[in-house]
Amino acid sequence: MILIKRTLPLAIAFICGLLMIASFFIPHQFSESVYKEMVTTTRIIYAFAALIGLISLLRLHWKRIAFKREGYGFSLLFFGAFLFTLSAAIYNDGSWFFNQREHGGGYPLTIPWIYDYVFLPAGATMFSILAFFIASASFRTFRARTLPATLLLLAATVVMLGRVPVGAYISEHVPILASWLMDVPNAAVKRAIFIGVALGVISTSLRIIFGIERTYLGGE
Amino acid sequence: MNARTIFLAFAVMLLFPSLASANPPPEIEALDMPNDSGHAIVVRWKSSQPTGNTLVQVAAHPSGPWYEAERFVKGTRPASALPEVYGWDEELSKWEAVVIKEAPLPVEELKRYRLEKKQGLEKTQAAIDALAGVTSKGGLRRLDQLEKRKESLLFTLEENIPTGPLITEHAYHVRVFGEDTSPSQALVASATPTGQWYNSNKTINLLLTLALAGFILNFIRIARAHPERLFIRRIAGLEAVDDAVGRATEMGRPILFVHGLTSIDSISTIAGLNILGKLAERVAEFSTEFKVTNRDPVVMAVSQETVKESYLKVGRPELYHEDHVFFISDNQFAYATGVEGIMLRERPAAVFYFGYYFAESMLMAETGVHVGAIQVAGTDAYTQLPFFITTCDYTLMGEELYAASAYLSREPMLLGSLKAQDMIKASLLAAMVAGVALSTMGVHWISRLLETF
Repeated sequence: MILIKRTLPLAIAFICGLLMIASFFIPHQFSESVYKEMVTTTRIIYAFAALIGLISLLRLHWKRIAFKREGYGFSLLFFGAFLFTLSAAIYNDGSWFFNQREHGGGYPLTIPWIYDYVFLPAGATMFSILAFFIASASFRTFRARTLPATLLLLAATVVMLGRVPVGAYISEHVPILASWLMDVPNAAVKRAIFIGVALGVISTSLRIIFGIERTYLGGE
Repeated sequence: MNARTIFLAFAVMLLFPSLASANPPPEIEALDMPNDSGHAIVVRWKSSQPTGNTLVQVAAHPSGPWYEAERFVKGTRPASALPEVYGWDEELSKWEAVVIKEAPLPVEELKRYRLEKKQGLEKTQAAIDALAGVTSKGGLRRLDQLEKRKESLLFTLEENIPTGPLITEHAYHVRVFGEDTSPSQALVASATPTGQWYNSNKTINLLLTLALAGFILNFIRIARAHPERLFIRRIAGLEAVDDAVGRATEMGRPILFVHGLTSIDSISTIAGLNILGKLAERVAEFSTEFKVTNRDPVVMAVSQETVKESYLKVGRPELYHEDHVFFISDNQFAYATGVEGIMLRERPAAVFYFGYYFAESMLMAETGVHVGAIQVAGTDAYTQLPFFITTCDYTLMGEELYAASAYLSREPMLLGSLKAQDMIKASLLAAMVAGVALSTMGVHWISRLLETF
């Protein structure tokens, strides 16, 4: 059991990790092909994994409906949308799913229609809410209670004004100051974060490859 | 030669300046692109003309036929722009160079390619004919798409010369066009691309990786022998984990762990999973309800296993429910909507965000504020850090995300690797200070040493 649950995954992580590191330093076609094979393998695994996700989702919503938990109406809606989309994909506007259908004989195809007129607008709606959320978060954060909060408020005001025409109308120095804030202090902090992140990534990767970090295997 | 002949010759030169040809490059060389997989050739030539255009052509044989590989305004491709090939030699200013990665397809492949395109064109035409007379909006849009495809296929068949990766020996020549002169005579060079087994441009990366690995192993040894010697500074966000779990227990409300958007191949996701394992142990000890949302099915499967093992580790396996670690959607905003819905319905007392996030971070974290949850976030997505800082009670920035697992577990092996990371950071800081000082003094070797290609 230990072999399957611990030794084997650690060995796979070690070998694959070393192969990935080697492919970074070896530019040869052989190395490229090994890398491509590994990427393809990952894709195949992901194709099966999508099924696991679907089963999880179906089970979760089914239990909600079965036990009539709060908000189970949304689960009914989920099943309705799921079955409708699945049926449309299988029927494929009369061609069935094993045939490719390129046109709808003058009518839009169902699956692209669902994507264009349901899926995309729903996503865009959620994204548009972001503007209101940013406004409410800014209102809460930009209260000049402390020195850092005051500096943040001032910097944000200058950057916002510097990025719109009215900033230059107030003073020609506002856009210059805004650019300076973005190019110097902001870039410096960004680079500092990048260096820390890069080292963190390398360190964590080495910990996983050497088998020091095993929490992802279940804490053993 | 009498005066009349000289006058006539001068008049011809004035009237037909194009008869004078541009100066050909005095020297041309083609060499295999170093440190690559064997699919590129660098062509370099000495500048011969002050202004004008340059044409680089490629052929399978020096006798031709020649195909255009690159055409550009003179002076826009200096050899000094390729330090990964030629270094930083001062003499490079006299040279121009281009990297050629593609060549026209061999005859057999070209025939096959054209046949495929021709068949595609016939199919497209058939689809256009089937849509004849449509008036609906969708039909017209489809017709428009098909017309564009047909246009593209026709262009490919009639005008475009298909190319493929450069793998065999080819000849190259460079012709120079002056502004008022005919093309220069071409000089020919040939080369075969070959793949290398080591990228010498990445030597510094290799040395740094080996140094970090050495530091990690050394500090692990020290940590095992003298754990008291390792000091780790306090990370407020991680100190707050116990408070958040305690608060949720007292309020009788669940704890929500929200994974980032990236898959299991992202290190930030793995860092998030490491934290999830430690967090699940605390949650299991307090017997609090724990929910984990996932955007990726593989991350979900690993999370289920991680949480299950954590519950088992603290002796509370009966509290674990597989359905508490679940998949929502792989679409960014559908995922955010799902998480927000859970927050609004179940009103968690504590929300943890660990991983890599995009625009959805603000949507989720702001909803968390509205439901009154204590929120702890950790991400290396620097564009989302301001959003988390403004909405969460504690935020782990960048590398703190990777340190969290070691910090929470206090295992000497993990703490040792953290110390090693700090040592490398100190070394890099010293290198940066030295680099800035030397560059200011006009000495550039240190900055060039750390240059990556």
